[in-house]
Amino acid sequence: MTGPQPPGPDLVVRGGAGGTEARYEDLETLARGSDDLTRTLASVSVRCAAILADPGVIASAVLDPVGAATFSALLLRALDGPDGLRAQTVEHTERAIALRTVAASYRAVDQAQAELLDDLRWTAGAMAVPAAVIAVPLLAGGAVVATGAALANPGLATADVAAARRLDYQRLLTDHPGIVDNLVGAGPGLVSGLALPTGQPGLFAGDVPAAAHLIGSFYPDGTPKVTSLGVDTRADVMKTPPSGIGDLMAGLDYRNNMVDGPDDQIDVRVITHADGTTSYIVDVPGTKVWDPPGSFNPALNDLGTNVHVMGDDLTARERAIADVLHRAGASPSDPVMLVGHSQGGMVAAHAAQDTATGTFDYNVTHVVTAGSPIARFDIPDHVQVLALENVHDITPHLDAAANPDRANVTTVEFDTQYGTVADNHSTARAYLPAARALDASSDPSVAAYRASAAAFLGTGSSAPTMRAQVYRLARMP
Amino acid sequence: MTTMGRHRIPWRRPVIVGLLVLATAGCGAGGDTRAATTSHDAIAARIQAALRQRPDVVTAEVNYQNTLDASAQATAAISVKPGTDLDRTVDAALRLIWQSKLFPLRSINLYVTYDHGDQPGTTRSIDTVRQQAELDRAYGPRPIG
Repeated sequence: MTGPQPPGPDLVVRGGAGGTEARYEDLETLARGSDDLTRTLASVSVRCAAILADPGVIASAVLDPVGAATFSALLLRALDGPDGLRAQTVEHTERAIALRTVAASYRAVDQAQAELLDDLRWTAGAMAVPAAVIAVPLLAGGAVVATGAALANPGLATADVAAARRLDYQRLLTDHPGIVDNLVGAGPGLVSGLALPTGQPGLFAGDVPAAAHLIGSFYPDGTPKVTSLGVDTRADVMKTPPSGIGDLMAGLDYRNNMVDGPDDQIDVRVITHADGTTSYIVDVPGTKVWDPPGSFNPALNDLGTNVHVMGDDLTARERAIADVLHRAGASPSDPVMLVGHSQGGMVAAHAAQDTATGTFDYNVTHVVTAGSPIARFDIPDHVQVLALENVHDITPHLDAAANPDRANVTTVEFDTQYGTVADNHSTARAYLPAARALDASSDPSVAAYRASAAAFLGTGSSAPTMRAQVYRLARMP
Repeated sequence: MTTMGRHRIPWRRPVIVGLLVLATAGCGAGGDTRAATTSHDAIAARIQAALRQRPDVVTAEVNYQNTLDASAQATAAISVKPGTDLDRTVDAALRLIWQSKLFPLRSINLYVTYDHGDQPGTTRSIDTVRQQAELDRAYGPRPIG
């Protein structure tokens, strides 16, 4: 009853080992090569110049004046001629400077464009209020005219209502998820704009994370409580080491399917290699509880965790993951991969960010996210991130930013449109087929990610074994 | 634009809350109401009980979810006795779920493993929209919701 599986979606890969930032790093490597060459040429020049003043050379001029003069002339040309060593030293110095300048300029332009987009959205939000002040009376006037017209021609009004009913808002949003970027990005500016008519001083100059941090104060985060539920043998994917990205996603999909509502559960796939080394994969499902602000919620997989992590807070759910790794036996040096869907991916990326400061004291070397807004996290260079994003899934747009094109952040976009927000965000219907398709990809960034993740994929020479430990997470006051 | 304003205005807080909560919570649109969840939980429990009564089944867990992060899906994890024909167990679980009043239902996930031993089990992920005709032929049309 499974039937033939549909072909996977087309994939577009950005960033990673084959991305733009990697090319900037190549430019810097070339600049360093020019530096080395410059130093070598300068050293040779100095030694050649010393030869001209060598007493033996000077003494030989007495015996063979013509030969000595020819030798000196040739050496001087080699040193100071148009293509001489000194000219080449200058040329390579200039080249190194130019390469560094180009790399820095490209980076600055990328950064400026991202900041400009943020500023434009903020300004659009701020201008929305004055625009509304002007537009509302005009619209009201228009409504009066329209009402008059409708009274005169009832068929016209009926047609308008029918058209409004036909408008499929989910289809509109999922066809144009950039709307979400613009709405969220304009939010902080809109708040500032609301203050303008009141004449109150000061603007809310914060960006999306700053606003989310502010909202986080309405969601008490508490402290995590972790309970072991034992080893999970209910599915093959929990018993066999993953062999590719598809298997990684299948494990996350399974955990997501098994977690029902506020009973938050994550698992750790403990992979033991023939040489005795151990690596850990943590599967972190997404949001299951959509609670309003203002009250304590014992579920860690709630909307409050979304708001906190988007606000760059250390969340109770992240601390729970650290606790789970400790209970599973991970040491601070064992390689850890965090795999998360939606909120789970956000928490995973934030934990990876926190490895830089030691706040998350485990060796997170890899992160895989599915449909998670992670663009604003500062992922350390030693962490390899693979971010899967369905272009029709609005959730990755909730941070109003595109993932950075960095050598250690590979973003894979694919095009799966079911016409609803939830289906486009589904692990089973959207992300698992894309991950399976990714296993067949020969893209250099994807191939580099797979190669770097050999400790988790059972692709080495040894035949690793695996057990999956499941934990229940809860929030305590 | 990364610094907070020096002068915060208290009434802005609820406004920001409203905006961003709407922006994020809006994504939960289309999920179940509390009453629907209770009803779905009861149906899932009946399917689970029916599966557990089968002689080939050792344990079974069934759930139904309809949220943003798990959309209109039924999941069954079933452990069976050694020697069981896995296809027959899969067939029985699919029939129970397909003939239930779990609505909407866009995917069915089945995980069947043997209770003991290293013999591999089976995993089935069925897109009920794409495979509706096939499911109708095998198990009859879905009941009226």
